[in-house]
Amino acid sequence: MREGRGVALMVKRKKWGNCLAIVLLSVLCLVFLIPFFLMILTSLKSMPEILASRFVWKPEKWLFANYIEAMKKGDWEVYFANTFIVTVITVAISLVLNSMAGYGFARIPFRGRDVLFFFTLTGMMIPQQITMIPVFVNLKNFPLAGGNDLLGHGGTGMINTYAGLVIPYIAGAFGVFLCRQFYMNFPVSLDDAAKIDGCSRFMAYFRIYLPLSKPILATLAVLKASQTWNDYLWPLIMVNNNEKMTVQVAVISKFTTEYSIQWNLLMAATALVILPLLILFLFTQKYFVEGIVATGIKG
Amino acid sequence: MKRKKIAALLLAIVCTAGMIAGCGEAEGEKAPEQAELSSEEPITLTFLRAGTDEATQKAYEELIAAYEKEHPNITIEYQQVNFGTDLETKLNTLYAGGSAPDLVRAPISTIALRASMGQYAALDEFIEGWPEKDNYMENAYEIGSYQGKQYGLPIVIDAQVFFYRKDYFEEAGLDPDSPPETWEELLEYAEKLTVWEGNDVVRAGFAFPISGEHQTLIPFARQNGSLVVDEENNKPTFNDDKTIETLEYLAKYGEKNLVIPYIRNKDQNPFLLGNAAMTYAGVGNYTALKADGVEWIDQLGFSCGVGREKISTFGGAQIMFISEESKHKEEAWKFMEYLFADESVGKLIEETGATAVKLSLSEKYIETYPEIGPAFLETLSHTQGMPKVEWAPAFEEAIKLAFEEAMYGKKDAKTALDDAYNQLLSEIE
Amino acid sequence: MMAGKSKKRLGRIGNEPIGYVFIAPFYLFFLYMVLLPILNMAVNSFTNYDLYKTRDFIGLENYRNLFQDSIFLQSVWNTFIYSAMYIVPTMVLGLLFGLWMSRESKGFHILRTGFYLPYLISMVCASTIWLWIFDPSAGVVNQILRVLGWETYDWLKDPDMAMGCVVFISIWKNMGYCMLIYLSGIKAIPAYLYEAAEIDGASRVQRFWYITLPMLQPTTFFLFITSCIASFNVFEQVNVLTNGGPLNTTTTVVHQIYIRGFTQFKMGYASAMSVMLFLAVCLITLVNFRFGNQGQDTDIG
Repeated sequence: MREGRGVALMVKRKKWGNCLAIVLLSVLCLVFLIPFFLMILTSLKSMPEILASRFVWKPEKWLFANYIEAMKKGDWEVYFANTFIVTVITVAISLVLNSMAGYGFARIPFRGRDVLFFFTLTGMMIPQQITMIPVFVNLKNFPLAGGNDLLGHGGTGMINTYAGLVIPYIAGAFGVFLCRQFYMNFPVSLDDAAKIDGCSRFMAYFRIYLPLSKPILATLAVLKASQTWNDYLWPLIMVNNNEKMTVQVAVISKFTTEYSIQWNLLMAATALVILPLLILFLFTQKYFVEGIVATGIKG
Repeated sequence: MKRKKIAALLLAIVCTAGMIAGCGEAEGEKAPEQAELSSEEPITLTFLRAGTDEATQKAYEELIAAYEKEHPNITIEYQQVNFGTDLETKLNTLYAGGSAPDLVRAPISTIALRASMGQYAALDEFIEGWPEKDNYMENAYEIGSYQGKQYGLPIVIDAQVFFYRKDYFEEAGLDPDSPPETWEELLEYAEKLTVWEGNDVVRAGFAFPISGEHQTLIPFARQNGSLVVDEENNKPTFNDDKTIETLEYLAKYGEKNLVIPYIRNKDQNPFLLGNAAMTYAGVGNYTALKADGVEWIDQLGFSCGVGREKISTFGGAQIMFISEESKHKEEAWKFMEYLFADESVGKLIEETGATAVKLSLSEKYIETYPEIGPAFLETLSHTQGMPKVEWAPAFEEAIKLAFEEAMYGKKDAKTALDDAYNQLLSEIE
Repeated sequence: MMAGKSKKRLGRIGNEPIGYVFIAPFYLFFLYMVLLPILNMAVNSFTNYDLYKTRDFIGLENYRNLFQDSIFLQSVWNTFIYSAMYIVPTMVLGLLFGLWMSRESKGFHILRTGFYLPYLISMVCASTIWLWIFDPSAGVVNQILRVLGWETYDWLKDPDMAMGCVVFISIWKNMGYCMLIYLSGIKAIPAYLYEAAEIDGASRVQRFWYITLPMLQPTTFFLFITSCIASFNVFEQVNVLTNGGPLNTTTTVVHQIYIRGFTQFKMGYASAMSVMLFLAVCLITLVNFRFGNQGQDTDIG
């Protein structure tokens, strides 16, 4: 009896602790998001209000029409579609290539493995400003693309194409590194068991490792999607016209003029642009929160 | 065995990739000669404009559409990119990657460098036979020339006009119809017009950026009779007494706590937010304020600013260039002729706030912009831009640093200018 | 680097060329899009490449000039300061939030999204808002300070505070990324370890020190390396917030690379800068590989 009561008390205390934690974290989260609220409030103001000498939090009139007006400037359905296509292809290919390479680097011993892995890291160490031009030239002279001949001459190559946008993203080493670190944490006994069962490396990868990779693949998908969706510099260089423009380039180019920036529309467009990423994040959470426990590795 | 095969395969891949990359580099240099195209054959011209203003985009697209209708064999691919970082990045990549646009509309800032590198074509031959030659403004020609050759034609001249707020002048007991004309007046007015809250300036008397800024010191030094840069002898001269005196004068605004600190191109000029009484700004700023619908638009007064030995204001320009690499220079020039016809420039003036670069359009300009137009045309004759030297970007950095050091009180004006001068000299060599 | 170690391992486990097949698809893209451009850069650093047609071999001149360029040396120092102030706080905050957010209570998915949100806002937009917040005259912070009667500051326009503000904004922006990666690392720790520890009577703190932290080592290693690389390469924040000023107190190596390469057309010189940067980052990474536990053999189970 007594013990039972004690446990009940503890559970109760734990519940209180939980509530307190949630309240504290919520307050923290609100403080953390002040800049974000400023963004939303600005998106609902009129330009003279934004340009007024005094900053006031509350908009005089809540101009929800700003969102509609922002979407009327330019062909936003095209920009969203383009960015969506590029992001989906990039994420899909990256998931496959990165998890395979990550597995190879983490679990399979082969000659030169560590050196080859170190090389992949160097890719992240060079500022984009420096490699941008050779990458551009390589894509322009890609054999047999965009009217090029076998040696890569004559045409425009992959300039202004989806492929030209996607390929440099796929070559990023970030995901390989992430997957490698994840697979390294798996117990050695897992490989031994697979070996005893007569599994080939491919079978081990597909049957054992991939099913256990949901959390890391969800994380990678979310991060890669955020980076691709939000990239500005590369589409700026690769894209020449409206038909292939991506959302980030559009946000900057549609609302800034030589002399002024339409802050309200720019903020409204920014808010709309991050919406798909937010939804993605909310929906993928169950995969990386689910953890590895549910799928049950036991040593 | 297996290992060797894979190694060989990898090696082969590396080699082919290397070959392809190697070819790529060579390709950019030897653009294949193309046979003369007859006028019937379809030709595509690419046109890159710096700036992303929607009204201007629309005007250009309409002009292009009309031109394409008249010349069915010509297609013009129009693209635009934001000023600053974006423009330099895109333009440099395109030139380096061997896909330079045929036509470029870019700011004046890098004209000397790009012209001397051979990116822009000299237009003298074309201008020779241009019927509109004498109708084009003399000082506009001057802006587009470098070392005796005409590399471009400005289509917008962005002279800095002196803006002031009449209502603030009245508030401070100053005559709203007589803006300051001398340095002493400017400082005196600024002191009267500044509003503090505690120790903070909440309204600046005279607003100018104190960081990342070269467009204040250069025109003020020129007002004081300094050359700043001796273009003929290709030498900087900004460590002379005149420039030192200028910087000492400007530093007073900081010492007397009269400025709101802001960075050029990062923050808004406080004047445009209603937080300053006087400033130098462009015509475009005025049209933008008008479009944004600010209440105090009627309170604005304009003049050509202050002077000492002479009046001088800073000016930029948007210039039309043709790429040296272009395979269709003739056609590109034809399009430029069309763009500089009175009707086209007139359209740009009306719809985009462009300035009159043609003599025949001065009146139209004043009609379209009755408030700021006269002040602008008056200012135009006092405007001078960046010195046209190959090391202009390094010069800009040097001026920025010296200016900041003096404004922040880190060094006195003489030391700051001397140090920047020596640093620049060592870099030029 | 780890030759001794890997030879030993290979000796024990053997060499399986099938590994090449696993990495090949990625490596093809990587070779063509990343490795070749890097070689290109290395070659350029010995030339006077001007981003157009000039590209003559000038030997080590670029490197000699680097050490006399006071602004470059200052940018190296600034980058170092930035990294020192950025990496550890971001990772510690990321770990803390990762731990708190790993609970599966109701409402936590909203909180997680909230903390991740800054990472989703583009830097251009975020920086604009921060510029407003920190504006010396009209900014929110100074307005509040004035109402409270406290001393106000120039924040991003103050040479002594600008770098601090840039770091603060970067931490705000990237904390969510660290949190997310730690979260996935924490969730990958097998629950039976905790169950066993609980049976043994280990306290919460003990569980954290003896299970969570060691098991998170591969994650920490990953975050440390990527944060190092990111902070050595910091550019965008600086470019949009301060442009390197005031008084060059926030200019970083990549910002200098950009200015030299893209506004002054000294791409050869800029390439030499990036070679130096590359060597520095390589060194740090190698040291980490050598001495840091990257997760191999971490097998408590």
